[in-house]
Formats: sequence, structure tokens, C-alpha cells
Amino acid sequence: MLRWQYSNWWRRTLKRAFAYNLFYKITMDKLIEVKNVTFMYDEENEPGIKALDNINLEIYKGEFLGIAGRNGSGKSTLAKLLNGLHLPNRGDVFVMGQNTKDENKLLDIRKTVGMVFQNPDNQMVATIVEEDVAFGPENLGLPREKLRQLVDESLKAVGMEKFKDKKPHKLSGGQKQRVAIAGVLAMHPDLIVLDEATAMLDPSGRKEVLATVKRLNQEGVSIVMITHYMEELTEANRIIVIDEGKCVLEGPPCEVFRKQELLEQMRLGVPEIVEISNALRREGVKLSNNILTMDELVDELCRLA
Amino acid sequence: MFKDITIGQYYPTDSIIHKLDPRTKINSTLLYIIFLFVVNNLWGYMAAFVFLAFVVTLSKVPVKYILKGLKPLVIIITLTVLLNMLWTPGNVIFQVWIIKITDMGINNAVNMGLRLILLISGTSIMTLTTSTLDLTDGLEADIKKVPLVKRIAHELSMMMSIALRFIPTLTEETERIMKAQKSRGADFESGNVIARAKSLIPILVPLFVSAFQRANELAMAMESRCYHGGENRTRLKQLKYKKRDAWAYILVFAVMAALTATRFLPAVNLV
Repeated sequence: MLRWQYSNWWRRTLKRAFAYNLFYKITMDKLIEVKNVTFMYDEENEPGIKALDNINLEIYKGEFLGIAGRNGSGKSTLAKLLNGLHLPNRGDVFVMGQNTKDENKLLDIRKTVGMVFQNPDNQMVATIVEEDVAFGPENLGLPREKLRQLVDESLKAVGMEKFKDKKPHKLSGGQKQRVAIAGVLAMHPDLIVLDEATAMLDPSGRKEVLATVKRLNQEGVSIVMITHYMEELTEANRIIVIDEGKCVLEGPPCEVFRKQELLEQMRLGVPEIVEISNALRREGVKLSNNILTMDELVDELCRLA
Repeated sequence: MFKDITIGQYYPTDSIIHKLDPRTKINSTLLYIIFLFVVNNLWGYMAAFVFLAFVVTLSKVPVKYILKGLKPLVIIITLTVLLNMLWTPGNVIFQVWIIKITDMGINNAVNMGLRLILLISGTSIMTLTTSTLDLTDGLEADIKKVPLVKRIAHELSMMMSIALRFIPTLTEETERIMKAQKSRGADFESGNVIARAKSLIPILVPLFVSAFQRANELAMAMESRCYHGGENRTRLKQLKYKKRDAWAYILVFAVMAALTATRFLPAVNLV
């Protein structure tokens, strides 16, 4: 246990301290490539509403990417481009090298990129938890024994195995969202996109979902977390901030959070701890740059004292 | 107020009738309905009643629940009985003003009344012992056997199960909207029928809007999970006939044969 904690600590420090850009772009495989993508709603009526404006980004295998932006910034549109629910007006989206515009590859793409939506009630298909989890694999036409195994395994992965015979509307919001994650997980995706999946949950439900997501990420599933709560992104490897359809900021959390004024202009807060340490830094306290949690701040302050 | 809404009035017990395959129950009910119309005299109805009583006892469902199922249809039953009694020609038994009651009339009325009661209690025994989920699965499997409509079997059952899935969600939503409108001073209780119907509009409009939004989101979620219709789709739960289903079929066929046989017994005339 101790060794695990240490190695985790080291990994975190390494990721935060080193030129992470270089680290990722050289060592990690590309999962998704978004190239010069422009997306417009209402394109029949000129000029249309531009939701995304010439966006370029890459998502790597195994990473935890946070995408932040205020309401109407285009972040949800971006999510729907990642698995071909929307197709770009200009530019291309490649998932594992396959263009989302290729209809024959759509099933493969959607199998690779799982999506969890905001409202837990609107993504449950079946009247029984385990049947809902089976929905994805059923669509893939897997044999029955395999379905059983996938359902049990993914319900276990989100800690909901006790609820498999329950009716979804009897569960709490956090539990429903975990079932939704299990439903996506049952297709063995390489990437799970959570499109404001915590927005409708109470604080305890949010914690449940975040913990589940973190664990999955440690087991090797890439995560894209779309949100406007910056607190949820302290564990991310990388954050991209989107505003008015453009990428405004990109970097590891500690770097992004230091641009507090810019974020506040975009109506995005920073986590409390970061706000405090930013304020302390302004007052001349020599804190290091990578403070994200309460423990880290306490350690740092004790070191100074 | 909407909390105890149940669709398909399922009454769970651990009886053998509950454990039967839904297809067995649906098919037997269909046969039962058809043969109720083959029957043409009191002997037949008695036989059907005995069979029904036997099934009800096996199912462990309280008789009260079956009678409850008859309640909303009391008006229709009485109407049928009255109409049959009054407008059937035959030997007049007694006459008040222009109202003539004939022997044939009484016979027909009793027959029709019994037929309706047996019909309704027979079908409600099926819905009381089969959960809605099993019911949709059973129907899908059955529809797949019918030549012309088998193509839409999957779509049909998918629509049914989604509708069932959203009933609790939408009732909750209705309650929430009602509370919201009430808190803004809406009045749903006073006024005559028309005023009350009109007061429902502020509930129905937001409900419809949100239902469409939900449908849209659900469609997206389903597509994200690789839904592409019923082709090459497998199911986690597959219906499997067991030994008891065979016995049930044998019993049902025997009873149906007996019902047909009652046609050849001498008719019982009440009057």
C-alpha cells in the first residue's frame, strides 16, 4: 500500500513538474485527433451559429483530460464530435486514425469512445439495471455468455453489483450515473467522455462519480471530463479551456489555475486551495507552483514555517 | 398523488403461474379468449369458470384483485346485459309499456354478461402474474412468429419497453410541474369540468416539451451506445420453455377441447 502511494506520488509529481507537453506528445499514443474543426448549428440559415471555431486538439491513450468552459462555450458540442454524433462542417475528427465522417466505421468509433451524458434519467434504456448495462454489448451482437460476463464485470468496476436487479428510478443520482458509466464500460471503450456528467448530482453523488472515474483512469481507460467545475479537474493530467468556440488555455492543472484572472473573465472559478495559494503568492509567500490539494498546501506551509 | 400508479397491475407471488414462460401465458390467454366465443351455452361457461378458478387458486392472487379489475368495466357489462335483454326478439315473458323482455333476451344477456366477466378476469390473471418486462419480451417473441409484422417486432417491443421505462420518470416530472404551477397560484381543483380541463394546459405543455427533450437525449445516448436497430442484436435474457410450460400447454389444450365439446351438450334454458 505504501509503495503504491509513493509510486503514485512520484508519478503525479513527475507529470506536474516536467515539461508535460513533451512528455505526452512523445510517449503517448494518439487516440483522437481533432483537426481544424469548425462546427455550426443552423447552417441552412446563413450565417448560422458557430459553436466551434477552428479547433485543434489531440487526446492521448491513458490520459485524464479536462475540458472546461462556461455555458455556451461549445464544450458539449466538442464532446458530440468525438464519437460522431455531430459531424464537423469543416475539418476532420479522427478516432484511432478513422474519420468520423466514414459511416461504416461509426460503430467501431462509438465502441472506442463511450459517452456519459448530463441527465442520468435520459440515458437509461431498460427497466432493470443489469439490462441497461447490457444494452451496449447487446447492440454489438455479442453472444449471451459474453454479455453476462461483461455486465457483471462492469457493474463490479463501478461498485454497483448489488443493484443489478433494481429498477433505475429507485436509485440515487450518483448511483444512476455510475450505472451509466458501467453501461459504457461494458463495451470496453478506450476513452470515456463525461459530458457534464456531474452537473445534476448532489455533492455526495459527484464524489461517487469522480472516485469511479479516477479509478477507471488508473486502470488505463482514458477520460475526457467536460465540466465547468474546476474542482473536478485537479486530478486531470491536462486541462483545455474553451471559450466562444476556441481553445483559450491548455496545460496541466497547476499551470492553468495560475491564470486566475483570465479564468474569472471566462466565468470559471479555480479551486479554493488554488485561490488561496495564488493569493498567498501575490502577497509574497514563496510557494511552489504545483499546489492543488489541501494536503499539498499544508505541507508547503509547514515547510516554510 | 401519482405515486401508486401501476401499469399492468403486477401482483408478485412465487406461484407456478408466475414462473411460467410469458409466451405460454400470452398464448394461453389468446386461446382462452378465442374459445370463450366458441362456447355457446351455460355448460361451457361453467367449464371456463372452473378452469379460471383453478388458475386463480394456483396463482395465489387474491380474488379481490381480480374483482378490482372488473370494477372499471361494470358500466360496460351492465350496458351489454341491458341491451341484450331489451332488444332481443323471442317469446315475450313480460311487458311494461314498450319494454318487452323475452326468453331469448334473458338467455343472451346472461351469456354475454358471463362471457365478458370471464374474458376480463381471464386476461387480468395474465397481467397480474406477468411483469411488464416479461410481457414485452413475450410479445416480441410472439410477434416475431407472425409473418407480416415480424419485421417490426424489435421496434415495437423497444418502443413498449422504453414507454414503460419512462412512466415513473414522467409521473415524477408531472408532479414537479404541478407543484411549480401551484406555487405560482395555479388552481387545479375548483371550477366545472371545462375549467378544470383548461387548467391542465399549463401542466401538459411543459410536460410535452420536456418529454421531447428527453426523447432527443435518449436517442443520442442510445446511438452513442451503438444502437442500430434490431439487426444482429443479441439479448442478455432469452426466453426458454421449461417442462412446466409443456404441462401448461397440455392442460390448456385439454380445456379448450372440453370447451368445444360443451357445444354439443343440450342447451340450458334459464326460462
